[in-house]
Amino acid sequence: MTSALGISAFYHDSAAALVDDGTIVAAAQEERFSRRRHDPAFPALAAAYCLTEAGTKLDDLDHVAYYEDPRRKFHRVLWTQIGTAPRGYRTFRRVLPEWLAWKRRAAETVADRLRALDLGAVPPVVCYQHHESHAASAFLPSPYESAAVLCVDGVGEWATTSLWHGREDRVEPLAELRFPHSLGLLYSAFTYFCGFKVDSGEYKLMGLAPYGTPRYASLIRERLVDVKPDGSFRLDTRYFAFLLGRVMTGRAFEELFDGPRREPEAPLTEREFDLAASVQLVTEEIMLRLARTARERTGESRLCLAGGVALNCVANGRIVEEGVFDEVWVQPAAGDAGGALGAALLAAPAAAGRTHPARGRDAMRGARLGPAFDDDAIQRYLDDHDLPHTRLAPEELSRKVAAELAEGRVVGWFQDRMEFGPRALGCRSILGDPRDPAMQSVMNQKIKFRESFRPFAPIVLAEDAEEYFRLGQPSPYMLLVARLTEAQRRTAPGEQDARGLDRLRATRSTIPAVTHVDHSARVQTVDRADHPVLHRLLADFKALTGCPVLVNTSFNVRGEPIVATPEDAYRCFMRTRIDSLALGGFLLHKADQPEWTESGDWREEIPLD
Amino acid sequence: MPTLRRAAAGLLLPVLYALVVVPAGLVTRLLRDPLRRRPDRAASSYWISTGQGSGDRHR
Ligand SMILES: [Fe+2]
Repeated sequence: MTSALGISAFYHDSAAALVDDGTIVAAAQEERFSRRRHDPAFPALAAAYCLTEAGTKLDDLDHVAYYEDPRRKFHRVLWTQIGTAPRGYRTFRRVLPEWLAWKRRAAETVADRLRALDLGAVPPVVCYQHHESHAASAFLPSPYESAAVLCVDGVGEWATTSLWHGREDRVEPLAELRFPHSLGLLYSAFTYFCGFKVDSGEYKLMGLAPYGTPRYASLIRERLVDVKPDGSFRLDTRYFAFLLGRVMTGRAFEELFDGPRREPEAPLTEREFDLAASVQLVTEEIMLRLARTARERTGESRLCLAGGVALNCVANGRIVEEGVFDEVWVQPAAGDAGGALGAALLAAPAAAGRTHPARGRDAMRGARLGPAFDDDAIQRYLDDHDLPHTRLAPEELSRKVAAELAEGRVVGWFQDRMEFGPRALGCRSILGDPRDPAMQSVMNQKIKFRESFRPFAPIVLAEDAEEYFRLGQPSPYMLLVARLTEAQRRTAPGEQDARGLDRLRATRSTIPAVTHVDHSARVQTVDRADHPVLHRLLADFKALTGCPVLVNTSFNVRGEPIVATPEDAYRCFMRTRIDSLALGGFLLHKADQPEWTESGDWREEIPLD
Repeated sequence: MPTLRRAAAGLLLPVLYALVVVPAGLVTRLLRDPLRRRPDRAASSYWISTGQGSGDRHR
């Protein structure tokens, strides 16, 4: 029996994960504890949490597993310098000192930082390849005995896209594409060019795409990326600037796409909608070809996905829709946070092998791998702060919340263990009634304080999913986009003629708050065995309304990490127009709460996302 | 000490870049572009094999 603490750190969205004999005991991102969104710092708080959850000290572990190979990454940095000289001095000056000082010895830095936690002697640190960690996180916890595995991201060491064959308890490498040829970086370049933040604004670009027409797609195919029939591709790096510095795109890119980039927060124009639609279309085409190659090379009928591009749930949905594979499973923490989990799974495999596929289940526990707060702890918090509340039995709470949702109230839903990965999956969520046409803009502007174009996602009873969505398989982690069934669609008057954001205002279905302009939705299916509490709430809502669907969005405001503790949840509840808060077994109503005062404007403190 | 180090680095970095990185870059690129930057329209695939026996896993 072996156990390991997995760490991903120093780039984007650091995380820790603890695996004991192949079982995932705990996993969490540092941002939730530090309250710094996508915190790249060493995940000291997340690591300490994982050890507490497991009830162990560092001494008891066999390995610390680091999610990439710093030396190999350093090679890539050096070769990039040699490849770009004499034009890359600015990057050289910026990155070389930190690489020489500590980054090439990141594994030693991890050991040092763990030692400083004072939680026992640090076991040996093993490093895996970045894509090996992604591949392990995609396949090992998946519900399949064997599968094709595809990892697509920005870049780790050299690999940017990699193909693997998952069998029993191993992932075997087959082929890869290397830096600077990267689908993740292509998408990020457009994210940057459209005025959004690289590494977090990609979601917004994907959300914009359905409002535009892909009129730049052929230009992208002709000039920016050469894609072979087998899905392998190369970028023409003359159009990109990421090899030379901090920004993604330069003048050549501007000349190709009608002028300078959109400044952040500037008004969105037709061009950005069309750019988003174009790069999204090309991304989907490449992902489909990669998936077909994965199927041919492995002969498998199931696909596992990870890497940041696997968070593109529209592209994932296309792979399912086109029937390239019989079934697809996406690691919920598909980004680099999930690398911590993959590395830990590689370092601490189950002595008896992977047994969960035989039971037809994945090993992610619904991604509920973070901290939980029992009712005693919540009671103490409420009493300490004199917060008016009602304590209810679980069935009663569920019925009461369902009734409030049916009346159009917005409810903060804080239950169970916190989710691992970027999405709230019904444990740290804000819920609403999807039948209400005004709900999308109410939730965007009064609760999340974000752009009105951003759609919300539905959660649906797994047994009723097919009645609403053309999905054909489970989607427990909200990483597949599916079209609404014809029966649920409604055509609004004037919808055909509307352009751009005007198309938002049309009612398009029986559940307009979660229906995108193209009749698609980012679905999470809720299974009774996997997620009993959330399943009960949906069933209660259905009993009242006939509708087995709710709006689910993450419990936070724009730019802030998802809430982790009852205190975070209460703060978010009071800062926004959320009507009720279900904290474990307690229900709080906004009208009963003491007045909320804060010094200064809290919105100033939260950076733009 | 940190100030001294920063000053030394400020002097050393341009020298290092001019005397090592730039010549290394020019010579290397005469032989082969280490980043394989240009698309090769004639190639049928860009996949690099990493499977058993490919021996190209570590560059
Ligand atoms: Fe990655």
